[in-house]
Order: sequence, then C-alpha cells, then structure tokens
Amino acid sequence: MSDLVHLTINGHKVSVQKGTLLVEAARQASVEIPVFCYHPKLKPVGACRMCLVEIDKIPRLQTACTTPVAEGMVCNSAAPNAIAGQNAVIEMLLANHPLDCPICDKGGECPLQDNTFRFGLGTSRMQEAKRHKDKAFELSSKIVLDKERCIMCYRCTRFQTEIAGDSALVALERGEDSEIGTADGEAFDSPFSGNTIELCPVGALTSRFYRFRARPWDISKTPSVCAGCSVGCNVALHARDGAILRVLSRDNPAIDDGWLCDKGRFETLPPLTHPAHVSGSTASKRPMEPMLRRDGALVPATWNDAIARAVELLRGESLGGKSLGGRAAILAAPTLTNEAVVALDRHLRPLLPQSTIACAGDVHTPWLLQGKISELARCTKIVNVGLDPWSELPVLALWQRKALERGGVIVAVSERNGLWRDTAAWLRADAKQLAATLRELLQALAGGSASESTSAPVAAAARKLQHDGPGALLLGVAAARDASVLELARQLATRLGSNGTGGVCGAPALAPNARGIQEQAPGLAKQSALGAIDALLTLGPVETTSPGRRIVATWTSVPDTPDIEVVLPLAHPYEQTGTWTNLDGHVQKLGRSGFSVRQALPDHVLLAHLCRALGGEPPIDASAVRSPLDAHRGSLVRPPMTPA
Amino acid sequence: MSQLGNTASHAAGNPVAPPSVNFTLSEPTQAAIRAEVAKFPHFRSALLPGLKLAQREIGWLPPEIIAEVADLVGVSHASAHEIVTFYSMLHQKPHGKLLVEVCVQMPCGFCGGERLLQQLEKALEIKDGETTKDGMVTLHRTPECMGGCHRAPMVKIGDRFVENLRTPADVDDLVRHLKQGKVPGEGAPGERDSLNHDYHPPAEARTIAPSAVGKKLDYKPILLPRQPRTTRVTLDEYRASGGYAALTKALQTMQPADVTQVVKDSNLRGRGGAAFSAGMKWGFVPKGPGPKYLVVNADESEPGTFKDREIMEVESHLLLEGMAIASFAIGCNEAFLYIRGEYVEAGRRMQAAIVEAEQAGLLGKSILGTRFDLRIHVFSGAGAYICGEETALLESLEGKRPMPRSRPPFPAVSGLYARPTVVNNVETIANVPCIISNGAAWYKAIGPNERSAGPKIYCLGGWVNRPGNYELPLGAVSFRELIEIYGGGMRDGAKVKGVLPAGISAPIVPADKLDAKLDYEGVAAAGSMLGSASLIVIPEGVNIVRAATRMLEFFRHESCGKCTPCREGVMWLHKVLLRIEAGLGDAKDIDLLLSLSGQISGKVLCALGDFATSPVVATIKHFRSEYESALKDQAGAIDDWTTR
Repeated sequence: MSDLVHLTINGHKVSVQKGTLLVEAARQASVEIPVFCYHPKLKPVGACRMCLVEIDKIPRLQTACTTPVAEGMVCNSAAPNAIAGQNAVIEMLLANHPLDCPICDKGGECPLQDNTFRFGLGTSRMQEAKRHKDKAFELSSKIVLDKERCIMCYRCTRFQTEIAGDSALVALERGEDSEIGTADGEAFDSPFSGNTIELCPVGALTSRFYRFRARPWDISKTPSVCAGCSVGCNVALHARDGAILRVLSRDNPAIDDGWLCDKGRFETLPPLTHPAHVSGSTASKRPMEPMLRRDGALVPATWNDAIARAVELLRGESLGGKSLGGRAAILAAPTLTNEAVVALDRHLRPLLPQSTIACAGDVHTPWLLQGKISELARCTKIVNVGLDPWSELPVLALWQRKALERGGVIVAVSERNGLWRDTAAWLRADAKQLAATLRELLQALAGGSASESTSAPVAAAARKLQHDGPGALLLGVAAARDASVLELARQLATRLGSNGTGGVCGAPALAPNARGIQEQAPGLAKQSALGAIDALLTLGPVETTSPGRRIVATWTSVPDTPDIEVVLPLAHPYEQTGTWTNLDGHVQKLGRSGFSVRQALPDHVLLAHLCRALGGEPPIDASAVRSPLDAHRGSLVRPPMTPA
Repeated sequence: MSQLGNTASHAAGNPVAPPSVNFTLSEPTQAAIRAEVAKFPHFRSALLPGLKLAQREIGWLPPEIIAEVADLVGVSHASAHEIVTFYSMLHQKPHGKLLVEVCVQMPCGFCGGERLLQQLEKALEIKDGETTKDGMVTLHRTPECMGGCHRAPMVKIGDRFVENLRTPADVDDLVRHLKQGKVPGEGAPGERDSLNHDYHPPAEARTIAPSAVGKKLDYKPILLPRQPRTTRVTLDEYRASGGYAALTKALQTMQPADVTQVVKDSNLRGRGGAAFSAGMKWGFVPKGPGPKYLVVNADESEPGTFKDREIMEVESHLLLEGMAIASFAIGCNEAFLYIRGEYVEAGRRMQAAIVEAEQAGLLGKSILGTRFDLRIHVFSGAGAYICGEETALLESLEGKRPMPRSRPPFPAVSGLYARPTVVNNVETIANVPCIISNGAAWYKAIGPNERSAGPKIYCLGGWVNRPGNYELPLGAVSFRELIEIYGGGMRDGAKVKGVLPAGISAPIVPADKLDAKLDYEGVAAAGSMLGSASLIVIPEGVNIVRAATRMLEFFRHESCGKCTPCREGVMWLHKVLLRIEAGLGDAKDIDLLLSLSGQISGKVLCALGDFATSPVVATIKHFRSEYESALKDQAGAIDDWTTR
C-alpha cells in the first residue's frame, strides 16, 4: 500500500500507483482530460498542450500528460484558467486546420472534433489565409497523408521510433512548416505502418484501401482474430453493407498489446464482391453460390444437389470405368477452425476410411511453443534461430523489442534479420550452416570460448547472452525439421533458461490455426502424399496439382478448369464463428462479419452437412465440438470491445 | 561548382532542368565522417557534424548525399532528413558560390541592414533568394541575428562575417569584391588582425566623440582584460598573465566538493539568462558511478548578444580553464562546447586552444600529473535559436531534432545520453577561474549587491556611438550610465525611445526608466528582465510596429514547432502585425494581439514561447498610441523603420 499516492482531481479523491501520470489518474477518477499527443502506449511528449490543468501551488498551467502524481496533489482541469488554456489550444490547433470534416474519413470518430465540441469555444478569430499544404500526399502504397489536417502530435513518428524501432516516419522542417514524412523520394516503408493510421487523432494519415469508403456511422464492428499468422492478434472487423472494409486492432495485452502488422491489417480481408466496391474488370470470381459441372460447364445449383454430388465423388460412385481405385482425399487450409477440425477428424474420417484427410501447408511443428509470448517482454536474452519474426511473425518482433527497454538483448542466428537495428549480435547462417553455428555457440556458452575454433562473432554473441533472468529461444519451423538443428536448439534453450519459469521456447508454425489443428488432430497436421486418388475436396485456399475430380470449397476465385466438378462457397474466417488456437495456446473466438456472399457456409457447418450426407452423425452443437478445448476454456474469456 | 542551379530562374517560374550529376562523397570526407562517429559516446551525435562535412564538400545536401551520410552514421535515411530540414544552415538546394546573408533583425535592421539589403539587390540586380546569372552570389535576407550587432549592419558570407557596413561606400566595396567572387579581407591578412577571419573596417574613427556625462568606474576587467584586442590569446600569453593557476590550485589542493562549495558560496548566477546559482546546479549532480557530462552553451543566438563570441575568440583559454575546473567539480571526463553554427571563427579558435592545452598537459589524460582526465569536444550547431534552450541543445548534441524536453527529469539527473549533465553558459564558466583563484568572499565583493555579484559583460548594441561588450561589476551602472559613459551616447544626438535589456526576449524598458540599475533586481523593478544583458538601444524615430513585426518574424522563424500555441500562435501574431504594417489592420487587432499573446505565454513547454509574446505585449503597453495610429483609417502601409 505504501506505493499508493493520494490526490484530488476536480474534487474527486483518488489513490493511484506511484509514478502514474496525472492524465491516467484522472481517468481512474472518471475525469476526462482532453489529449492529442498523449497515448498510453507511447512515451509522453507534452507537445500539443491540450491537457493543460491547474495544480495547486504551481503558478503555471501544467500538462497532465507529463506530470507524475504527487502525494496530496490538488489538480483541477475545470478551473477557469485551465479551461481558458484548453480553449486557447483548440483555437490554435484549428487556426490552420482545413475543417474539411464533411469529406474527411475521420469525421465522426475524430478526437479533434470531439475535443473541439467539449473543450473548445466553437468560434475562431482567424481572418488571415490558412496555411496550404499537400492534401493527398502518398506516403506509401498503403497510406495517404493530408498535410493540412495534421496537428503535429508526433504519435505516428513516436510509434515508428519507440515501438517499431525503424524510424521510418519522421518529423520534417520546423515551426509552422513542420510536417511528417520520410526521406526525399523514399516511401514510408515499415511492416507496422498501418498502426499510425489508427494512432492519428485527426484525418491526416488515411488508409488507401479505406479512404472515402465509409463513415463511422455506416460501420458495424465485430470482434475477431487476425487471419495473417499464428500470433492471433485481436482485431475489430469494420464492415459497411456486409463488406469488410478495414481491420483495426483490438488491444489484447496478452497477445498483441494493441498493434497489428500491415500484412494482417491490409492483406487478410475477404475479396470484395459488391458492385459498389469493385468495378467489373477487377471483380473477384469468388463463388457466390454452389455450382456443379453439367454438360461441361459449371452451372449454379442448390446446396442439396451440390452436397449430393460431392458425396458421390468422395465415395467413388458414378465414376464408371474411370475409377483410379476408389480413393478420395480431403485437403484443408490451415485456417480451419477448431470446430471444423473436430468435425473433420472425428466425424468425417470414419465415414471415409479409405481416404487421405490432411491439412495443407506448414501446420505441424516438432516443438510447440512453451511459455506465453507476452513473457518475451521480460526476457533478458532472446535468440532467434532460423526465424525472422520481423517478416514472419511481425507482432512477435514487437514483443521482443519490449525486452530491449529493460536491458534485454536479442541475438539472431539466421539468414534474414529484420530486427538488425536491435540485435546485439547477428550470426548470419543459412539453413545448411545453422547446426554448425549453433554447435559453436553452445560451446562458447559452455565456457569453451577460449577454444581457438570459436570465431570472434560467436564469442561476442555468447558474451552478450551471459545474463541472468529468463531467456527465450525461437526456432523457425522449417529449420526445426532438421533433427540436428532441433536438438541443438533445445540444448541452447535449456542453457538460456528458456524452459524454466518466465522463459519462452519453441518452433511455432506460421499458419493461423496451426497449433489448434495439431492439438486437436495430430494426424491432420502431418503431411502425407496423396498418391493416386479419384476425387479431392479442398477446404479453403489450397494449392494442389493432384489428379482426379475436384470439389472446391473456398472464398477465393476459382479457375475454370475441367477437373473441377463442384464448387462450394465457403465463408472467409472473418465471415464465420468458431475458434482458433494461436501459437502460444490461447483459444480465441472468431466473429462473424460481412454477409456479401449470403450462401457461403462456415467450415464446420459445411463439414456437418457432408457428415450427414455421408450417413454419419454430425457434431450436434458448439459445446460438444468445443469439449476438447475445455482445458483452454479460461482463455476463451476475452476483454470486451472498448471504444477507440 | 558547375552543378549550381540558378535559383533566380527557378523563382521566375522558368525552371532549369536539374543537373544530372550523381553526387558522392570523396574518400577524405567519408573518413572524416567515420572519425566523427568514432569520436562521440553515441554514434548518432555524429549525424549533424557528418552532414556539415558533406555540405562543406558538395556545397549543399542533395538527397543521395543525405542518404550516404545516414548510412555512414548508421541511422535511417528519414532520420537524417529530419535533421537536415530543421537547421537553417543545412541547404537542400544549391546556391551561388557566395551565399550572402543579410541580417535585418534588431538592431541591424534599424541600423541600416534593410538599406544594405536594398543596395545589394540593386547593385547585384537580384532579389532576396535569387542568384546572380553567373552563379556567383546568392542573396538571402535573414531575420536571424548572427551575433555581429556591435558592428551593425553586417552580412555573413559563407563562413565569414563582414561587419560595420555603415556607409554606401562600405557597401560599394563589398559589391566590388562580390562581383569578383571574393570576400573582403579574404586572402590578404589584414594588418589589424591576421588571425581574425572576420572583416570589419574601423568604425570608431567615424563615430562622433561622446559627450561624457560621467566618469568611468575604476574597474579592471577580469573576463575580457585585453579589450579592444580581437586576436586569440595564445597559451603562452595566457599563462604569462597567471592563466591556469586556478586549475592547478583546484586539481592539486582541492576536492571536487570543495570547488562546488566555493562556487556556491560565491553566488555566481548563470549568465545565460535564467540567473540560476551555478554552484547549486553543480550540486544537483548525483555522486554515483558512470559518466557525467559538462555541456557549455555557446549557442548565443539571442538577437543583440555577442559576448560569448568575444570570450571564445579572444579569451579561449579562460573558457577552457573554467570548463576544466567545472568538469573536475562534477566528476566529468568528457565535456562539450556547443557553439552556434554561425560562429565558425570562434569554433576554430577554441579548437586551436584545445590543441595547445592538450599539448601542454592541461587537457587530456592525467592533467597536471593528477588522475583527472578531460576531453573537450567542440560541437558546432547549424542555425537554430532553439538550441540555446538547454534541453533542445542536448537533443541536438544527441543527433536528434532540437526540441525542448519536458522536465522533470532535469539535465542534472538525466541529461546528455540520459546521464547527469550540467549545462552552463560560456560567460558563467568564464567566471569560475577567478573565483577559484581568489575565493568566494573576494568575488562577492565585486559589485554593490553580494547576492548577485561578480563581473558581467553587457552587450551594448543599437543606436549608440560605441556599441560593444562592456565588462562591469554586476549592477554597478544604470541603463543611462552604460549608454552615456560607455556607449559614448546616442548616435546623431538622438533620444532613447526604449531599451531591450535582454535581446528581443524581454519586455522593452521605456525611456523614463533608464536610471534603473543593470542587475537582476533593478531591471525586474523596471518591468523587464536582465537576462543575458544584451541591450538593444532603440532611438526615437524607430517605428515600434515595424520593430515588433521584425521581432515576431524572428520568433516565427525560430519556433521549433513542438508546442501548438507557439507554432500556430506566433505565426498568427506575426500575420496580424504584417496586416497592421500593410495598413489593413482594424480596431480589434490590438485586443487580438494581446489575447493571442496570453494564449501562448505560460502554455508552452519552454521559455522561448513566452519570450515570443513580450515584443508584442510590452510594445503595446508602452507605445499603444503608435499602434492606434497605424490602425487609423487610411493610415497607409509602414514602409520603413521610421515613425510617421
């Protein structure tokens, strides 16, 4: 209790942790102090001056975002003096702001609008001409900057420097000419650039995909999980008229800490189908309804007919003399939900005993991740072996950077290393050199650094790793397939203390539900040769060149090739319910957003239909499906959606 | 220099195709930049010196050169860009062989700077910002003071100052040189001063003999004992007059804490303007292990201030001795002298003095045979008034954008590279040797007021017969005595309209308060601040609206842009003043100016935002009628410095 500080804010008594900033203490006292530059996840900067408050015994107004609480402090954000200060800052901010709210993406969800209504006077005495700047400056292929709207809060540049660490976006010029930008002629190139759009408190940084597509009041928001990789960042899906137009972050302090990578934010959306969103030539050939091949052409069909035809094919019936042995195969994309995995593995597999049923892609790992990714922030030494989290599991790279704040070190043993700015040592090693490099590093750590065979970089890396405290070792899943690398990596993990409490180790697979698939049905995860088959059902986007008749269930465009007999519209992961298990074992619910393809079925529903048509018992309800997940039930509890 | 573009034709809307030259840095420049990287405790500090080295070679900074420097230093291209665009001395466009910068700020402006600019424009047949057709001369009007106020009006040509351009004949001489691509005084060592690279034709001979109204004090200067000398005092000369005795005494007979105590007892107050006790500041430095830094602030950019320039150019060793004693007191082994970029000559001379002192064992390892080591870095700025603010200066030293930090933490706890740091002004440090030599009691006896005692250099500039630095006991004379006895009275027998006591940052003191004594208390009683004691004497006849507009132009030009009220408000104030100047003001404008000033002052992070309002508030307070007449119907535009 001795760490508590007692203070009064606008007459409310509040007790907060020592070191808390006044602006946060006010939130705890349910007092809103307006801010622009302040963001709880960035270091305070005190630039915008919006949060001016009066503090007893201090003659000048103070910024609540830079002032730590003190025992007995009496603060008033509603004193006439403080209100005058807040009014003044709003008037100054708007003096050169274009006030083009009616055509601004941010209108309706804009802190500048909100603070102007609540803390501004609503009038301006500015009669001089406003400052004119670029209105649609293309910072990159993803982001457009309106330099006139920018209020220079430095949230975006601080994010790139403090959180991403790449300083890809900076402040340029000075004084009235200040603006944000990059080096002349260079694009804003960062795998995390999209976060700056969300951080921007005005309509200055806008998404090229979302620009002019919707207004906040047109949007329905659905909580879900990112389909980009196995980290499983929490997202909010924003859809207008059934079309998902943007993906925003939904802060989960255990998984993403509020950040998304650009791949997840911009590249995981289902294809747009509505004529309002796509012009004729670029329209997706995403299946809108079930289709059957009749007289050589794919024609629309009912779900009953399509399922019946699919079952015929899977059973090897009605193939006439063309049978290649009566075998069928099912290949599923690694986006399959846990519910669908259970349906596929436990309900459908017995009905097709001859068939090969597997998941496509890298879903199996010989070494599931131990520990939680949020613990990376507390690790004192982190080694990435044959893995480049920056490009492969981007948000994991941000967790690793948090360790730097506490004096931790990152060492890379890999060919690629997007964290090069932050790695204390980078031992460049391609797949063939990994085992030798690891062996050398282990020897150096074991005290053999004096041996002549140890190269200087390895000895230096070993010295950097001589830290107490928990460690982490992350191994690339492809590298883990080499048994000797796997064994050496396990030894290194043990030496780093990654297996103990607080440590993290493993070789996470990259696909969104890889861990769920492996845990629910290890057999599904294992790759196996398809061999000679008569018919193949693919679930989701699966690349295959197998012979035989094809049944394609997908949300991606379907080529018109003669081997495709049946096309089934499948729901995109953002369009269905279900659960995924992320790389560190959190089971998380998907939310259903978007209804542009009304006939699309969720994966587990489609599989239930197939079970029934094959004469089996389909899984009855969600709870029955989820019973195997009981062990993880605790982690199904998610923080609720909070307003941005 | 064949790659120089002609900016005049750019301005005329007739763009010359940019020369297709691929710029690269020569091997010696690259090596010099690498040496800078190795020199500093943190590599990023080499960014600004590296960019200046590159500009020295190429003449300006094309994007590919900025990128090359960024790569050499090891920062992102964008990070180098944010530095280049901030400083006014780093050029992103080519200019003529000779870049002629004409100061039009106070006091140069009303002492003929404006006329000088017009004469140059006419003689060279170019306008401000343009380049002569032969690519020889680029003319640049600058609102930024360059520290040549005692020899006003003046221009800066490349690295060199050409001063005392009072008569048309002086200007003709300058034009003749410029047309030949030469700078006056260049090449031929002047008979006056072979070390002085600045050229100033003797002016005192032309000034009218003063009508002395009183006797000079019987006082022997301590800081500038060799006036009117302009050459650097060599180590031998300095030692011959007792130099480095104080350092010897401190190192051989005193403990660091004793040194701090003596300085504390002497009541030495900071001479940079804030007048904080130097000894107390040193005492705040924590005693623990790890590096501590002394940073000496020589970013003397306040208009009307030129005292540190003379100390550095002439009494270089006095400053070095003071720095060594201060470093010893606070436990610092690496000290920095941050000199404003315009003071090239001062930087050269300080560097030469450091070499002398190192060779004599007075700096470097084991100074005077003791265990005390000290390395002094001369760090040159690049044109930014904000760097005079101590935390902005630290940011600049760290290779970041010089924007003030919010306090706490104070630099004494977390300053340069987040280590304990003392930041003192040049003049403050120059006071230290005499205190150590003679003791606190002796020092406190200098001047009438022992609470703020010691020698003080008054920079006397403006419309007086003998402008210059006058060292006197703090508080020994009044405004009137300084002007009449030391300054030789007013030029042309003019009357004093008012005096700006601390450059343009402090409120103007009207003519009826000239008997106030020049110490902290006396000037405060007269409604202003002594600050750095840079007195700009304004004669009757100077239009106060023009003066206020010009001063606000300075603050608009120099605002770093971090705080909203300063970035937007100062620009707004200046626009309103320009409108009044143009004869387009309306009756409400005086209230608007006062109201906007109130919205800036006290609402910003650093004192510079507050300073920016005093030229407006104080001139309205004392000369309201002049504003009112400018606002009268059909008053017409103010077209020169004179009142109507």
